[in-house]
Amino acid sequence: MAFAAIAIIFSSCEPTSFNETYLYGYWQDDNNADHYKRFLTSSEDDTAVVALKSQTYNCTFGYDWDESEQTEEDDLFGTGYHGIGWYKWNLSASTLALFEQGEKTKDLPYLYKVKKLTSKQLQIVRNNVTETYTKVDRTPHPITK
Amino acid sequence: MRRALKIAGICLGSLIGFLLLVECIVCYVILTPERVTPVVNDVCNKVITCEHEIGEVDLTFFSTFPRLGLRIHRILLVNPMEGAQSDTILATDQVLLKANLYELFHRRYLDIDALVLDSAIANIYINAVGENNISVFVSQPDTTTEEKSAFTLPFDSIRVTGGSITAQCLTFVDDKDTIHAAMQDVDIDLAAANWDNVQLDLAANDVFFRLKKETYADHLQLGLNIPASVNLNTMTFGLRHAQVSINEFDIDLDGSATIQDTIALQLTAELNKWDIANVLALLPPSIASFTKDIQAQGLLSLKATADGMITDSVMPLIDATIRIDRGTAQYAALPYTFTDVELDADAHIDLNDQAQTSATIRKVCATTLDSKVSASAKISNLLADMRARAQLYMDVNIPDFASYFPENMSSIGQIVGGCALDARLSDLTSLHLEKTQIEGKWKIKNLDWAMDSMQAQLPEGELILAIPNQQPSHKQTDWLNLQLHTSALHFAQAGGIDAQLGNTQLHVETDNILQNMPHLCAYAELTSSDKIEVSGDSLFAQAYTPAITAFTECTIGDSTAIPAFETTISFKDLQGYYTQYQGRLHNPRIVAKMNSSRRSKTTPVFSADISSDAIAAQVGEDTKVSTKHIAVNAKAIYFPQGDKFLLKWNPRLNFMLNDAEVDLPNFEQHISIPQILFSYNNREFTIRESLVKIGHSDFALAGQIENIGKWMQEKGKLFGELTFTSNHTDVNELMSLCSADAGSEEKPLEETVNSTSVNRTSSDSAQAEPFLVPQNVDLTLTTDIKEAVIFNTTAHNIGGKLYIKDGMLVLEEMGFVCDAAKLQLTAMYRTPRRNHIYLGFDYHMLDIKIDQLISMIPQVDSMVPMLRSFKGDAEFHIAAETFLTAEYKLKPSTLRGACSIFGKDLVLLDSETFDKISKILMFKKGSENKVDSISVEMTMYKKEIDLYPFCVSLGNYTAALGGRHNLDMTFDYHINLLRPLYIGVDVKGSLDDLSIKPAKCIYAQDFRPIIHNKVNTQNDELRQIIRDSLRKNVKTE
Repeated sequence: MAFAAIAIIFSSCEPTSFNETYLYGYWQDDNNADHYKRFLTSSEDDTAVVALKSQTYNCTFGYDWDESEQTEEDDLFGTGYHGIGWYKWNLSASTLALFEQGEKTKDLPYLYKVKKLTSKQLQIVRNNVTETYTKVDRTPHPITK
Repeated sequence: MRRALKIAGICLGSLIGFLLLVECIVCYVILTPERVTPVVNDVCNKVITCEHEIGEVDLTFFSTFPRLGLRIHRILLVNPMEGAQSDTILATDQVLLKANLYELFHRRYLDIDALVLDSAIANIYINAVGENNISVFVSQPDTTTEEKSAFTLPFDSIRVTGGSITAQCLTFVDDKDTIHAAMQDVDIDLAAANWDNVQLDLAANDVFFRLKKETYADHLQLGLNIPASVNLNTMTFGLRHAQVSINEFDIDLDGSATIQDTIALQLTAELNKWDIANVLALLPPSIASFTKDIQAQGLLSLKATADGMITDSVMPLIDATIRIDRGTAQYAALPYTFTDVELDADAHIDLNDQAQTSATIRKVCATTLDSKVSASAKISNLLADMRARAQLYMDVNIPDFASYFPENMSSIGQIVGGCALDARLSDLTSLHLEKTQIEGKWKIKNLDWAMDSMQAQLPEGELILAIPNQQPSHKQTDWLNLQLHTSALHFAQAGGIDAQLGNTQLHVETDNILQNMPHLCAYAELTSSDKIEVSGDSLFAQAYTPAITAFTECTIGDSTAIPAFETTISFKDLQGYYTQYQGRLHNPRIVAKMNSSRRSKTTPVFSADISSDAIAAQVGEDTKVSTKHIAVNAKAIYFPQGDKFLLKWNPRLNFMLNDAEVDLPNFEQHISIPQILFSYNNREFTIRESLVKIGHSDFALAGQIENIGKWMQEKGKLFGELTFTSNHTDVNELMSLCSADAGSEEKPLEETVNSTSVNRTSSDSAQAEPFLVPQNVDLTLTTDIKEAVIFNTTAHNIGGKLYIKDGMLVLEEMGFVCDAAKLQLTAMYRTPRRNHIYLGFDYHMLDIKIDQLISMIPQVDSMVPMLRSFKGDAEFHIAAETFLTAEYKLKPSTLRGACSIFGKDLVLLDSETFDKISKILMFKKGSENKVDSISVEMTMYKKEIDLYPFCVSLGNYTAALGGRHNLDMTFDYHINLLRPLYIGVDVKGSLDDLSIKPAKCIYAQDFRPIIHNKVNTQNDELRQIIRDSLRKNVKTE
């Protein structure tokens, strides 16, 4: 019984904090090879603060795009800079908050629970939907406004 | 008495008889030849210094009665002289002197009634140094040293009142003055009863005269009949009806000459009907050389008067009247023989002042082949730079002058008419005609002209010429005025064009084109009261009552200077075609000008005023334009450095069009233009009025667009404000017509092949042609559209602004009413790349019927499928943005948005789904399931639509609803009954595969969060944010 209890306890124990630096860089969606995410550092791009009534988030920027929809990483720059596809992100404990950007809509919050974050793997969950990503090497796109 | 007379008579007769007897005795007994001859010889030996022979000398009485005669048989004077034509000075068979002895003995006055030489031969010679061979008489002795032994003449003075010479040969040679004269068979009679009555008659054959190597007479017959008077005191010699005959030519002379230190001459010469050919044959070679190329015949009559002094510097005035009748002439340089030549002219010759020399030609005419020409003239300054004022008349048969035509040219026809000419010969020969006056009018008949492949026919016409131009239409064209009037003119070129002109007037004016003027000016005008028709290969044009004028002024020798050109063209009707171009114009009028800019002579400036009533034009089968009235005022300045058409030509345009219909290739829609009035230049384009119908759309566009030139040069933005008013607009049709060629951040594929930077390429779909927003454009279009079709929606009363700015197309607060509701739309459309098109919009619908909302925007059903279960009024707000492909397909991963739906007094519709849910939740359905209100907020993120939990009351029941559904129409909702029971149900799956299961309640009974967690708190906050932000954009009126 005790062993069962211990097993249950341990199996239900998930990490509560992750190394933010593992997020930096390009990630490829394991379910859609044309879908990429990129998390920028504070030195690569601006930082931002999102203040909700309940909490304030200190964020840096990132973006994602889906090449199966004939979207290119280059589309996120120029007039697309900090528009659709961009988000402000904040990793706090196991919560990855993504505040989606647009021109009509700003800072729409989408809160993900981080299940796994290593230098190679990322697993996040929202509304019972799990997304997994694998770290990829890509030539960093210059941040052009 | 009788007896006395008888006695007197007997006495007189006896006296005469006695005298005669004495005479006979003296002559035949006392003074016999034997006695007289030695005396005469002796006298001659003393008087004559040269070798001589004197024959028998006798006195005659009866043969020379009543005068005493001295007859010398044979006289020979020989004086050899080197170079002389003969040693014999004089040789004669007989010399007879008839003298008045009474005067001789009483008054020592030798009065010779007659001196007769028979068969004489005389040779007079002067050598080169002036020595003559007739100085053979002893000179009179000096009276101061009188010698008694010297011979003295028995008379002190001598008078010869008559004489005759018959000579075989008379010669005169003067080597000093190079004169050689000779006559054969000479017969000279001289009678001089008194000095007032002198008669000289001369007849000679074979007359020869040469002066200074020029032979003036050779083998001529000479005759003189000269009644004259002589006044030795005044040295005046008068002629009365004298006649000089040379061969068959007689000259009548009348007049006088006074010879003193000067010669005073008053002489009239008249010749009548001389045969010109024979006259020409008599001309000395030096003069004949001038006429060697002339063969002439006819009768020449001349009367000339010389009146005045002859000195070293003065000549008498000569007035002459000349006539030529029945003349013919041929000049070697001309291939014509002139017949029926007549001349009637006067001449006044003043050799002292040649400027006063003049001639009057009363008539001169000639005929050649089938042509005639006649003239009259007054000629002044005849001997110098003559000036003629002439009237010319001609009746010319054109083929007569075919020798002047080029080899490849032929012509027939007739030209009849005349002209008046006032010109100087020097001006005519040098073509300096600025002081020349010419006025002429000619009728042209049956003209038929051909040259190479060209031909022309002119049955009847009139040609009018005037130099200078007395009524110039332009002050510069003041030299030539040429007009051609014709009832019909036909011109054709084989393989080229064929032109027919009916009842046409052609008018040409120029400045002096013959001089090397720096400027050339010309004016031409063509009018017709009939029509002009031109046809050719792929060409036909017909113009009724044309009126065409053209004026040009150009600088010769400067190819860079722009000539000035102006033309007006008007027709009553013009129709025609050229290859695939067809047109018909009614009352067209064009005034076009070209000249140089004031700032630069090498920059051309064009202007045109064009107006026309009905126009119909067609190019091929696809392009058609017609209009009822058009008026265009255009101006253009050409700058070759411009790289676009509008920058090259810099047009300024005022345009007016009424009732036009246009069909263009590559332009799918038919265009109707009831009216358009605009002005354009590269600074601004102003539409004052325009009513246009394109396809299904009609609109009135007005406004202004500025900075066009700088925008085309990519040095500035295009600004504009336009108002768009329409009854019906098909936006889909118009957008397809106005699309740009490339996306705003798109580069052509060929530019990116070699580029190392990451660029967006045109690797996009090449087949899709979305609307691409033009760059550097700041245009505002204020709309007032009664009805519009946008995509598949019909909207009414659309008012708002559409503007293009910073590469975006923005529809700002466009309010309109459609069937379902009042709507307000603010939309943004941006095209960074053809296949990556941004679309964002705020869309608000007030007073909407839910069922109509779904039919208007089917996507709403995808987003909120449960709405289809409701019926009633609602309020709908959505703010969304996404990117689209070139085919306007959604890129789901880029979808972002928020939506708020508020409904009240709704009715929940029965459905299988509702039945299932109500059973689980133990609803008691009423006859009508009314819902007081419903307020739904949702967000769209990628393919997900999150429905934030909301509460709905249905009668006594209160339920909370929330969840997510996807664009693939799968969903995961949780419905929580809050009152009267507190139970929950999960609704998952799709409409075709629905799973409805009881579930644990997750919403608080008072619809407050059970677990106070960040998400729920944030959800409430977010819902409020969404509601507030959406509603604040609604324009309240």
